[in-house]
Amino acid sequence: MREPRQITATQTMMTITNSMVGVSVLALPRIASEQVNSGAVLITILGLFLAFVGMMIIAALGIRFPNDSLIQSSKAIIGRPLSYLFGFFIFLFFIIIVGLITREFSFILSSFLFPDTPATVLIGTMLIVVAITTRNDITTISYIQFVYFPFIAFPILLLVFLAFPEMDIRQLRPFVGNQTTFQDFIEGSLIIAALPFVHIGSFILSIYIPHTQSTKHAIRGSIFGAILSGTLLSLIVLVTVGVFGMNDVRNPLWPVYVLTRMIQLPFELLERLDILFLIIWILSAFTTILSGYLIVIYNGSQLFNLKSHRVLSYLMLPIVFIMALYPQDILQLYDLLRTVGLYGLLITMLYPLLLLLVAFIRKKRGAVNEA
Amino acid sequence: MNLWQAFTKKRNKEPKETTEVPPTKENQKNNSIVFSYKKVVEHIQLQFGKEQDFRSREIELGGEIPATIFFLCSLVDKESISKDVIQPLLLLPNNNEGENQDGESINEFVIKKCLYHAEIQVENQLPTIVTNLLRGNTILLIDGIQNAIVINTKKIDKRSISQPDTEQVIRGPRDGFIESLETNVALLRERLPIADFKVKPLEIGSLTKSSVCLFYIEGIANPSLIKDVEDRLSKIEIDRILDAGYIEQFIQDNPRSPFPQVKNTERPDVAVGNLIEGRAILMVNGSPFALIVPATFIMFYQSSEDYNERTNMTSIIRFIRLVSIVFSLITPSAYVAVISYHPELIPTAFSVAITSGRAGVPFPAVIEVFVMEAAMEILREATVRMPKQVGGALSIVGVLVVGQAAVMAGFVSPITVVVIAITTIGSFSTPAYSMATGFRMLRFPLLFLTGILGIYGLVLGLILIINHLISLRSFGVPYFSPISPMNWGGMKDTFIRAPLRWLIDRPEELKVANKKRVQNPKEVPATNPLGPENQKGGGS
Repeated sequence: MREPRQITATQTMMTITNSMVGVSVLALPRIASEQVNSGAVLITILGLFLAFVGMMIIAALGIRFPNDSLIQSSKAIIGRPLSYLFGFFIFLFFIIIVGLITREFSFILSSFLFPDTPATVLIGTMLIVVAITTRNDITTISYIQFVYFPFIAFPILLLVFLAFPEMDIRQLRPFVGNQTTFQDFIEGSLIIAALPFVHIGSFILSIYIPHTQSTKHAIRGSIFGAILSGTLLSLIVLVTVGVFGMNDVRNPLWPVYVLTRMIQLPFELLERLDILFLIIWILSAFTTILSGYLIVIYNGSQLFNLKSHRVLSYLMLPIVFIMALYPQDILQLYDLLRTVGLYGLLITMLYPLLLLLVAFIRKKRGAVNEA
Repeated sequence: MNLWQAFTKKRNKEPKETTEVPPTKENQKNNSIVFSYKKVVEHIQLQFGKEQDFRSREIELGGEIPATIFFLCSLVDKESISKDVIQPLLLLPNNNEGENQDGESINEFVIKKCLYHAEIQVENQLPTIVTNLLRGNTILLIDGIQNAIVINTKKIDKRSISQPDTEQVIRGPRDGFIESLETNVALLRERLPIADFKVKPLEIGSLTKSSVCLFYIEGIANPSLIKDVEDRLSKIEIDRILDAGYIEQFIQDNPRSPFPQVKNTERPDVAVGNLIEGRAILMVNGSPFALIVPATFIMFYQSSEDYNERTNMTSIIRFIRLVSIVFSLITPSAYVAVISYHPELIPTAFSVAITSGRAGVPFPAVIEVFVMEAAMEILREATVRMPKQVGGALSIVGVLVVGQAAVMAGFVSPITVVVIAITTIGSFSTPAYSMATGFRMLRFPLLFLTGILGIYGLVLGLILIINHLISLRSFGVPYFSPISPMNWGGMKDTFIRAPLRWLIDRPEELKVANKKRVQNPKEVPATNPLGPENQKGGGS
C-alpha cells in the first residue's frame, strides 16, 4: 500500500463535496422539515456543523498520525483486539450504509425513469461501475472525483439560481412561528448529522489523509470541503423550503426533484429539466457510492491485512448488493437509514473522538512524515 | 505430456543455441587473430557468389598486391565506388623501390593517403563485415592486411519530401517525414541546431534489423523518462519492425485501452515542438511516422496549426473541436435515449416534426441508429481502401443510398440521418486519426447501453469511459492531465491556446529538468511602435 502521496487540498475538497452531495439531497428538505417544520434550514446548518466537527476530529487524528489510516492508528492507540473490534463495526456499518444509499438511488430512478426495470438491474449496474472504478489507486480515484465536481456543483447552483425567483421569503421562519421546541432542534440536527452522506463525507477523509501531499493539504481540503458542501446543501434546503412552504415540502418523498420539475430555462430549449437534472443526480450518486464503497473495501483490506483495497473491489460486490436488496419498500428504507445512521454517529464521531482523547492521554503519536 | 514436452523443450533449448554459436565464435576467433585474406574472400564468395546483385572486383595495388572489392550493386552508388574507391587505388604508383611492405603500413597508406571517400571504417570480424555488406557498404580486402576496409557507399532510392496527407494544415510548414531515417534525422537536426539534441541509435527486429532512433533534448527531457523508454525498447522481442506502429504496440502502457497512448506524427515541426516540451521521439527506418511519448489525451486534439495561427481564433477552433468529439461520441446515444425513453424532453412544437418523421419507420430507434451507424462505418472503411479512381462513384452511392433513398424508402427517419451526419463529421474533425477511431468505436457499446437502460445507461457508459481515461497512464504521466490532476499552467494550452508569450512553462506533468522555456524573459516590448508609451519614451 505504498502509493506516492499526491492528493492535493483541492482534490480532497472536491471529493468531500462530491461525497456529501448525493442522492440523499433529494430527500433532505423533507427529512429536515419533518422534524422542525420551517426550521429546516437552521437544523441543516446545525447538523452540518456537527458533521464538520466530526470531520475535524478525524482531521485532528490525521495530524497526530499523518501516515496511518484510522485502523492503523487505532491499533497504536487502543491496542490490537479493540481496534479490530471497532474496525469490524466500521466495516459492517459502511456496508449497510452503502447498500442502503444504493437502494435509495434505485428507488429514485425507478419512480421517475424506469418504473418497470427491476431494482436488481439498477443496483447491480451502478455497483459494477463503482467496483470497476475502485480498481484504481486512491490517487486516481481523487482525480476521478475531481472531474465530476463541476458537473455536480454548478448544476446545483444553477438550480438554486433558477428557483430563486419562485421563492417566497415568508415561508422561511427559522426560529419562531414553527411550533417547535428546543428539543426538536437538537433531535433534528442529530438526524441531519446522521444522514448517510455525512458519514461517508467525513470518513472518506480518514482514507485520504495517508495519501495527501501533506497533512496541511488534508486539513485545508476538509475545511473547505465541509464549508462548500454545507453551503450547497443549505442553499438547496433554503430554496426548496422557500418555494414549497413547510407543509408542501413534506408531501413528496423527494421535494428537490419536484423542484427541478417546476423550474424552466428562460428560453425554451427543452421541455423539462428534471431529466437533465437526473443526470446530475446519477453522477452525484455515483461519486457518493464510490466514496462509500471505497471506505468499505479500504477498511476491509486493512482489517484483513490485505496488500491493497483492490483485492476486495469485486469480492465485496455481492455483499453490498444483498444489503441493498434488503429493504422491502421505501418507508422501511428510510426507517433503516435513520436508525442505522443514528447508531452510526457512535462510530463515525464518538469513536474517533475517543481515539483522539486516548491518544492525547497516552501521548501516542504516529511516525513523523519523512517527506 | 505437456509438462514433459515443456521439460524437454527447455533442455533442448540450450544445446540448440550452442550448436549455432560455436561456428561464428570460431570464425570470429579465426578472423580476429589470424585474418587471412584468402579465407575471407573465399567465405564471402561462397556465401554471396550466387546472389543476383552481388559483385566482386579484383584489382592489384601498385601492380603487385592483390585486393578485392565486394558490394551489392542494388544498394550502392556505383559511380562513387568507381571514382572514390577504385580509381585512387588503381592510380597507385608501382612499388619499385622495394620499401618495407608490411600490412600495417599498407593499411594506413590506403586509408590515409589513398581513398577519397568520406566515410570509412575498419572491421576485422567476419559477421560484421557481412552485415556491412548487406547494409550497402563496400568491402575492400587487401592481401596482407589484418582487416577489411568498409566504405559507406550506400545509396537507395527514396521519395522526395512532401506534405503529409494525414496531418494537413492550412498554415504551416509543408514538409513531412519520409521513409528514410537519415532524411528524417536531417529534418529534425535542421530545426534543432543545438548540441543537446541527442539521437540514440538502436536496432530492433531479429530479421529486419530495423534501425530505430530515440530523440530527445538533454537537459530538458526527464532522464527517468528516457531510461523508461530505453528499457521498454530493450524488452521488445520480435523478428520484424515494419512500421513505427509495431513499436507503439510494444511500448504502450495499456494495450487493451481503446485510446492511443502514444501520439504519432508525420510532421517535423510537431516533432520538434514536442521535443522542446520535454518529450521523447522514436523513429524507425522505413516509416514516415514519428512516435511521441508520453502522450496525453489533450495532445490528440491539438494541431500544429494551433500555434501558427493567432491565439483567439485558435482558441475558438479548439473549442469547436472539443465539442465535436463529444458530439461524435454521444449524439447517437442521446438521440436514442430521448426518442425511445424520454420523449417528454422534446419541446412540444418540435415533437410533432419528430413523430411525423418517424411515422413509417418499422424499427425501434436503437436498431435504426445502429444500422445507419454501421452503414456509415462501412462506407468510411470502403472509401479508405478503394482505389482513388472509383472514389467518386462511392461518394455518390453513399449520399444517395445512405441519405435520401433510405429516408424515402421509409427505412429511417430524416432526423436519424442528421444525427448520423453530425456524428460522422464530428469524428472527422479530430486531428488525430487514432483517437477519432477510438471514440467512433466506443459509440457502439454506448449505443448498446443506452438501448437497454436509456439515459441511465448512457451516463453509466460515459462514467466508465471518463474513469478509464483518467486512470490511463502514458509513461507514468496521467493521461488526462492537465485537466485532472489539475494544473493551471497547463490549462493555458488545453481548452484554449493562450498567447505564445504566456506559455512560458513546459508541461508540468512531464516533470522536465528545465521548467522554463525562456530563462530570462526580456521586458515585453510594446506591440505598437507608435503607441503612447513609446512616444513618451522617444520624447524623453
